[in-house]
Amino acid sequence: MKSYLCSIYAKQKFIDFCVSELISLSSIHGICPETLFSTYNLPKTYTEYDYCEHFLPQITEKPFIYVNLPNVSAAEHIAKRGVCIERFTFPLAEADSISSLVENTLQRFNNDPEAAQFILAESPFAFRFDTYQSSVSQEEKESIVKSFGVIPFKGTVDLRSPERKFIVSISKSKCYFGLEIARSKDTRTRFYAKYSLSDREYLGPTTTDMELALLMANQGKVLENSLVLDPFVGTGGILIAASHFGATCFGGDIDVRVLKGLGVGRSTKNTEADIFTNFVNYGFQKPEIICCDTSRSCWKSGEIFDAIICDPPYGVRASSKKIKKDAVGTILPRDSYHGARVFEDLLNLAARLLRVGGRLVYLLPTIRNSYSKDAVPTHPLLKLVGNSENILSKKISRRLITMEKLEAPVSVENEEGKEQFYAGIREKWFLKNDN
Amino acid sequence: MRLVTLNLLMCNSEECSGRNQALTLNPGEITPGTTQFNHDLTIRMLGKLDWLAFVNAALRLGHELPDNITEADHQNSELIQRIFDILFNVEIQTGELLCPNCNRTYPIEKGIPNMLPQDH
Repeated sequence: MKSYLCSIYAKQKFIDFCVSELISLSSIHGICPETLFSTYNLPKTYTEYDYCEHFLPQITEKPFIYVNLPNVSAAEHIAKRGVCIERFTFPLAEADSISSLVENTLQRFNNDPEAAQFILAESPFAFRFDTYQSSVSQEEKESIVKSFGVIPFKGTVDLRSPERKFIVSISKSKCYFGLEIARSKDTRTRFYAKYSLSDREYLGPTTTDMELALLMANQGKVLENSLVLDPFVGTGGILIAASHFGATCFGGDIDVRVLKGLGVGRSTKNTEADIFTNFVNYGFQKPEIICCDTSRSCWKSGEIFDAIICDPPYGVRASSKKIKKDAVGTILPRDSYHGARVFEDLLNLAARLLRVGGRLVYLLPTIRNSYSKDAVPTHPLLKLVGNSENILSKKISRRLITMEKLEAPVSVENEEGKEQFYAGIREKWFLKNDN
Repeated sequence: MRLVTLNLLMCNSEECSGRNQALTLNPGEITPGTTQFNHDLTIRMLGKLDWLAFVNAALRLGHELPDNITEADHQNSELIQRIFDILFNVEIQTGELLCPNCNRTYPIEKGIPNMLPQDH
């Protein structure tokens, strides 16, 4: 196991999901959170929720987490598909100021042969800066690089295409120095730039934001040849993300109009677009689409799917204003289908159709002051593995819920009260939004 | 809709509920698909399919397949390729699904089967 420093970088609205993403992507490589974060000596009883609570409060000020991974290729794989993960470095030093950072690096060089070999390698190298919430001028950067002159770097400096990139990371409270081993982007754009919603030929008012869709696919641990179902598929935004990772996709929706391009889903280019159009444009295998009602499943029971990923009709995908507008009929064609039932049906569906170890990932809207952990829907065959909050305003938030299918049922606390909690949440959501 | 999906769907009428009742396809327009052959995906699907229902569905469209399939067949690349093509490269654009138990029918339009009750 190797210790690396992971830098987090995400849009403010998704930063809340970064710890969950790191945990999920590591688990693809067989790393449990306890091993991943063992540097921090946290209690063994910690759940994913506790890890999020532990790391998130400081993440905007100091977006760095030490992680243990089996090797460089695991780090590369995680960086390649991470939405919130910027890079991994082999850490050489950590300090409160630049001058002690140089000192600490020198000390490490003198005492640790493994660290020294990175500095003594003959290949071309360069320094790169990563600054968070603090600005560093060009002159300051030059003087920092000069101060590292006391360390005997070998090889020539190559600013264009260095083989070794030494990263000086500066945040408000800490500085780090390390050798980059994996990065999420090689050029200026991230891997998902090509999926930008504004370029999509088929779009609906609530098409899932691409970064969010990718985050959800990462929570679902979607891999090449995974079978993925979105039972509230709409215009297919979540399945585009799953397709990027090589999944074979299935989607269901109660509203046949959104599937065929006759209703809220529409072409942005005056073509006869439907749900399949974007998949064809991106060169993906077309998803299998069924018009159906999740409360009356038309899927045979069996361990068919590796992941069920969705934003149920309550889900809050667009800005609060849009939600209000969409609330009139378009998101929810059946008025009677609300309250806790949509989640109850979803969890039952997942328990019936997921393989053991397969994951259910969905968004749960919450009113912040009345939320309690106990309100999250439960099922005896599904274990809650992720619950991270994404705050949208003082009053409302949405939670990214991840559950894993168990081999045998466990008993759950009584369900009373949940019905009450979710009955009327829709009304409360929109009411609170107006305030 | 492809045959892979036909194999995973069941009748959801009140009468058939709880039976995992397989559906029969009455095809209308069928177009050939262009999905690239994927050996691993085919092997994964073999573990999930109701094989007999698949053989019958394939036969109705003129494709003959063996009555059962063994581990040894996984190495038979000609057979695996054929199974893949029947599963993923036969696209049913129009037609209907018929429940042999309750006689309910579900229309397929624009490649999308509509599993909602008629009165919806």
